[in-house]
Amino acid sequence: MNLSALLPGLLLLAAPLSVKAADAKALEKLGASVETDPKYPPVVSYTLKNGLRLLILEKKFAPTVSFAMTFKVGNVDCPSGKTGLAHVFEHMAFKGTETMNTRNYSKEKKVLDKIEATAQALIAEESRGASADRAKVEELTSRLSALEKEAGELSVSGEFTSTYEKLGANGMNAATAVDYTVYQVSLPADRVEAWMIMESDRFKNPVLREFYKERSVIMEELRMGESKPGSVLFENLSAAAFKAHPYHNPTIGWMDDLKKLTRTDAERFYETFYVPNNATLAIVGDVDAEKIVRMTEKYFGGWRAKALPSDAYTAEPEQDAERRVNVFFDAKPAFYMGFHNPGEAHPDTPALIMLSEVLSNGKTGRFYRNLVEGKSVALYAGSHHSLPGSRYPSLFLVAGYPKEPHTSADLEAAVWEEIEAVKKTPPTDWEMEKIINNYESEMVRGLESDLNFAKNISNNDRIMGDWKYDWALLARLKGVKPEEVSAAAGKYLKRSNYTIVSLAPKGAVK
Amino acid sequence: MTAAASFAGHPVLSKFGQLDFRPGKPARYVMENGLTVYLLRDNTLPIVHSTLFIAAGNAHDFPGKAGIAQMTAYLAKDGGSARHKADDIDKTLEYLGASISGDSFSEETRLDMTALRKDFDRVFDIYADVITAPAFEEEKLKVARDAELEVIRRRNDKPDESAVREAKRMFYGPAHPYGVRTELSTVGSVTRQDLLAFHSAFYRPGNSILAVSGDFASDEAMLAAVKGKFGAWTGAAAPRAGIPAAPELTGRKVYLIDKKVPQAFLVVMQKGTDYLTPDNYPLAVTTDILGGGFQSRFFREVRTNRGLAYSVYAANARRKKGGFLFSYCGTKPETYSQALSEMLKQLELAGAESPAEEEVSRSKGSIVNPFVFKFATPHKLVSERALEELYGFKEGYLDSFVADVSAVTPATARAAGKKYFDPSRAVIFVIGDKSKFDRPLADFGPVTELKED
Repeated sequence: MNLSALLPGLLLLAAPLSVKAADAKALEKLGASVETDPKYPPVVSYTLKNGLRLLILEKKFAPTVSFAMTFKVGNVDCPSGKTGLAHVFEHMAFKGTETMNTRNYSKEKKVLDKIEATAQALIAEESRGASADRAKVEELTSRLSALEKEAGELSVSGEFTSTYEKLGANGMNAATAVDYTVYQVSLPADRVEAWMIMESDRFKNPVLREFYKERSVIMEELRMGESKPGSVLFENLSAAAFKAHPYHNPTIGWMDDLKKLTRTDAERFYETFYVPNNATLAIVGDVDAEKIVRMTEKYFGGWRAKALPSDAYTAEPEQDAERRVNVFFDAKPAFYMGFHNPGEAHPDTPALIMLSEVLSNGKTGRFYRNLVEGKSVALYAGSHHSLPGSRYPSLFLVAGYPKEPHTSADLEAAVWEEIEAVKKTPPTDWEMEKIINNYESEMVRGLESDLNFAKNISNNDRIMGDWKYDWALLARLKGVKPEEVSAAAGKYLKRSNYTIVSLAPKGAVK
Repeated sequence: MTAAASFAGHPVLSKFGQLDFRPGKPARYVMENGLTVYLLRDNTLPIVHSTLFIAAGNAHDFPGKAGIAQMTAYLAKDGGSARHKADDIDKTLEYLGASISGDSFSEETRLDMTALRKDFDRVFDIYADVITAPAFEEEKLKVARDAELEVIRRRNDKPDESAVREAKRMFYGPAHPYGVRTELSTVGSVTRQDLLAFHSAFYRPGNSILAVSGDFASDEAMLAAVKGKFGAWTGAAAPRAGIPAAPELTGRKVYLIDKKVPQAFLVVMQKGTDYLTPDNYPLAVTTDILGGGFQSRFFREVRTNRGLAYSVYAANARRKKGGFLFSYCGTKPETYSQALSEMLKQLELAGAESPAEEEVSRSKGSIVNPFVFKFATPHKLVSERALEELYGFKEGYLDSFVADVSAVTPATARAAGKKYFDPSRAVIFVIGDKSKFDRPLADFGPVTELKED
């Protein structure tokens, strides 16, 4: 796991990026606002009447444009018994619409409805487990397969993705996390309108065809994760550290839930959460902001807003126990530690971020200096202040990979020595300054890739409520005193708030 | 495939044809000591990037010292230099939020540097010193060696990666420079003297290209800085041990590592191409049609239509002396034979039948139109130009790339398919739980069962 990749990419001065005064005036006339404080890049913000937020940064080097559309919906929002649904819908959002991927939608729809009825009957029968009627299961399976074949003849499989490929899409993808789902792609800059057509249709009129085949693909994705030590560690850590809050569940879902998910479930999920007032669109690259605003109005203006359900999910009760899990897995030893943190908005969070950086930022970080070098007990040790998410209180995570002849127990003890040392002696000024300098440098680097910057501002706008969140965070970090870092370590990194998941080689099972 | 698709005919979508893009040409200089320099000034952000490309990589490891190219690249910076102690370098760079790092690949080594403009002089001084006069401090060598040894001990933790590595090893042979694997013995035996010898053999100005981009005052000023730091560096282009041609496969060889993992990992290896053959243009199209994207035959047949895999693709890994075409799939062991049969069937079809006009045109679009993204940032552009020269491509290779791919026809794509895709001459490598296989692997050819090591 590359923990540094999980840090937000921050930004600094971007002097040569600017919006001309005349353009700014025209944009303001349209109701858009242009960021003029030179501390920030000159991002244009605009909110459609239906609540869709639009952020634009004109940035011209190559004739390209990058798009990121973030929805505030993730695995955390899946109804009970339907884990993985957010991710399943994300896959289905590539399957076309009423006009894309179809030869004749009205005919196709009739077959799709028959497929749904048959699949639901099949799931109901299979859910009876040992008492299921095998003959009925077989009959329904074969009927489903025949209907899928019939539907296949009425559809144009892959038209949506293939159209993008022909247009020259780069990095076309989507990602589902516990907190959000983001759809991303880059195109040659002259193809903005193509994107508008494709995406507005996708989010307004999706047709979740090929649902049950795609569900099988996702089951393979789940098995793929089960083959990787990092995913296995993380899934077990979340499941053990969270008992009540939905961060307990893996984003890919539990296999048994996947087996029971229906197209109807995914459609309901879409209708609830895929609304313009739950999305932020960021467009970065060689574009004209004014044209973008007009085009977004044209293609997304008719998308109807809807009230969103409450997202006050079961809060995690306070942990007052040390939790240890040994997972028997065919790989060399490794562990993940988790400590509950108080959530992103909490006043202790900047100190926890500094703590994480003191421990694991670079070769001068304490883990590298003392555990990889020094005691030579680790191949790698890293940390992050908040995983798996940031919408709710989450986990301060430490990952450890011991180096032979040392064991996980040796490395765990050595990590605890580092934690106890920070509690007793605050970090030096040099360590604190280094971290701030790194954040500022990362802010500049974060602006280099148009797609990464688009994802950064769309996520921050939608999830943290401010596209400039990283600047606000930097200001909070600068205010942290070394003794506050020690205090935060003492308050959160303690045995009663501790979960550790270790991989034990399969040979160790007796 | 269909031409009658309702949506592709959308008046706006159909108006976009092939993108006509030609990458920019950064300024190029050759210094007296033979160092080639590419410069591209861009003041958008207050940052400077530099990459030194060295024309030697893992394939040039000394005999019995597999891993030395990688360790030399890591330790150039991590091991300190003549004028800077390793620990001081880390402190300076990390305090400034700057970075210097080295890495080696099959045929080249890269040393990258990033610094904010305000810190450029200080960081560039360290960068030049670690490249031209690395110290390889013994203590740091021990740290790096211990880490590499642990990485070797852990090399089978991720079976998907193991399958590709081992397939390549069986395809080329375990002693071939493209097939060789680092071992505890090879890494364990690397000494400081070996690192100095590798450095002196290959880290030479005549063997390198420096690409610098970003926020500097002028090309003249940057060139003066480069001359100031690299001007006294000496050494002509380095002689390298010849790399034998990839072995000719006469039949099919199947290998199995029996391992209880949730998926079976399937790799099919065939002979690929070198960097320079004109076959690469039609072959790129054929490979893309076969396993390149969402709409490839592998993706459509194995993933979309059958739901057998999440990850399934084909790619051509080019090498100077003959690369490899590989097809990959991760699928559950209970249906592995369906996925493997389908892949082999598609490989056979790619060699036997002409692709449809529509497939060729889609694929050309998906190669040509995103070509611009290889040049999306100033540093990507200078790096691509440096690599174009490093690999010895014909003059103007990048400039005519669009035209050369555009010239591919179903007939030339078919000819390339016929020449390269023949699954009866292939290495098939499988890691999976054979007790769950739906068909014996022997159905696909004579199986050699190996032990994970």
